[in-house]
Amino acid sequence: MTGFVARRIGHTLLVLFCVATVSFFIVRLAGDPVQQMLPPEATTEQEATLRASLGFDRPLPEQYVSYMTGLLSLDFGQSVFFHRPAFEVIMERLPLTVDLAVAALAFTLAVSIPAGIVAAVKRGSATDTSVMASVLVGQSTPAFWVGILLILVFAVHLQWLPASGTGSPAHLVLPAITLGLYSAAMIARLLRSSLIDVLGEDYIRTARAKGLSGFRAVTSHGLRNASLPVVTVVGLEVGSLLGGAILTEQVFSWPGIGRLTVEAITYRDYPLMQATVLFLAAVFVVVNLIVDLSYALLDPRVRLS
Amino acid sequence: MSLLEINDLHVEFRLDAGTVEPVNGVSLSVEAGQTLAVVGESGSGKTATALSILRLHPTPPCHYTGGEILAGGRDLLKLPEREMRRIRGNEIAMVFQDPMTSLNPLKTVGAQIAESLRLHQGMSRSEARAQAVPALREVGIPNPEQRAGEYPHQFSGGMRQRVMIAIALACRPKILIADEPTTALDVTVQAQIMELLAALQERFGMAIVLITHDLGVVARSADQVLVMYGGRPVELAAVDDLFDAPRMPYTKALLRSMPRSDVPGGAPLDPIPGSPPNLFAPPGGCAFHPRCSLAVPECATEVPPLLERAPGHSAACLLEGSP
Repeated sequence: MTGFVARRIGHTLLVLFCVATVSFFIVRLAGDPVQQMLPPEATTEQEATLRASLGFDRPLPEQYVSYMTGLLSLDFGQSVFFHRPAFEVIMERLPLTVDLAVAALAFTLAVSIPAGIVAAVKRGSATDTSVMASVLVGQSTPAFWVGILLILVFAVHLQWLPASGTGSPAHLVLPAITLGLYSAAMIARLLRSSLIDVLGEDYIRTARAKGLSGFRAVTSHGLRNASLPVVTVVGLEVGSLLGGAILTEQVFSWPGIGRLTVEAITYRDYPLMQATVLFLAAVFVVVNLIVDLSYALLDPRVRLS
Repeated sequence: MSLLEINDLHVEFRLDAGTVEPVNGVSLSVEAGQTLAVVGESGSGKTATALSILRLHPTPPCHYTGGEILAGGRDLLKLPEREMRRIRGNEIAMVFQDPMTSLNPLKTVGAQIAESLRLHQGMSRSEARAQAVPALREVGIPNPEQRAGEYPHQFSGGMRQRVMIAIALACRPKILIADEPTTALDVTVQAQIMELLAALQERFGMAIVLITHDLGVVARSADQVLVMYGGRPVELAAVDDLFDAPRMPYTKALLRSMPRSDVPGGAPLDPIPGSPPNLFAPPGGCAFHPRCSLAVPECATEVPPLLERAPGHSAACLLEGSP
């Protein structure tokens, strides 16, 4: 177990090194930040001064080495747009994204788990068909459209909930639903098919032969066995929720990591772009590690080695 | 008096592809301390009969269309599901064919034994866990204190089947249904499991319904034998009578097809020609007639009734004539 974690941390560092390198070169294809920042009538000298002050006049390898050395001390560089360390800017936005991710995940699980169970147990019934039809709609509706629709109905017409912004739990409701709908549909579908497989297993029949009710057989023998593939997908969803929901945050003017990423790209803010990409990669790698560790907790047959 | 009596049981599976009747007029009875073996090839309806006793078939597509299953003075087919649950694992328990897949891989074996005890005997979690240890010792699992906390994958096939037996016997059922309990195990382990079942039967006096296609197991373990073919009972006799003087041509062919170790150099196998009947379109008359070397034209039209041909020996065959 300890050896496994140590090796995985080694892998994590390797992945982050690669992501840092690739993102460093790729963001430089986005265009020149200096031209973006200066008015069109700026002179070549003014341009050169600004470029030098930002360090973009140095040769690329030199910039790369100083960027990578900075990373060792959590120095992600100065954000060109915010004139503050990029790390600080991300940490400032992170709590809002975490709030939204937690709310969206709660919505996802609260909807998908009961839906998946009911559809699997009542397989082939009208209930199953209607759950699966809703899943199809949920999975194929784009988030920005759902968001706009929810704003129209609940914020504009009914005026029950705020249309955008932050500040209260009520502000979370619509973005959380918008963000969680796709995951809820996907996880409900996955749980249904996984549970259908498990319910055909011999040990479910053993449980029934012991005198357990159908419901108890599902909850105490079926669900944990069916949860293994679901945990992987929930883990990946948590990763993408924490990485910031670009579309949803944009629609609801939610100032989290997603919007920050868009802003960084718009302003060609190299250090901030690199920092957000690296942050996203770190979140995914860590979430994956947690998912792998949780397998060992859920399934005694899994040996972490 | 019989602990379990089945009279003229009919079971139908209504599937998209058509309706099949895997159990067609089965009657049997078994007494305390006795073992009734139900034998037949795959698809003969023996497992379908076994699962019907505890009503474990999913409904739909399964429908119990006729007959009665009497145990403890009640017809199990008429009991509401809630009362049926009190019988399962308590008065009537079942051991399944494949111990590799019949245990939940994510629960310790101790917890899986304890589950029955909590359910039927109202024990607390800790009482039931404690009781799982002697239950494992009873079925010959060494070091039960430690083994109770282990998971099924840490046990060999034979040991898992012992665990299944411990689960089945935890509440001291009056009737044990063993559905091919040794089929998935290797030969030496098979013998150990059958010996264990015999010893436990002697100790607790339960009736055993043993579903099997292994005639060697039948010869060693059973008191009575019911032979099934195409969902119908075709011969019922005491075990010695059946092996010494089989009456139904199918039983005779089945006995002939057994590999023999008493002939020097080994005798060639004598298989039954043809295939088991297609239950979606069963042959008319006696289901065995297309494969029967003795068949006469009437065999294709008349269903032979299962009639007593000698004391305690019934067979369903037109060639036996009317008694």
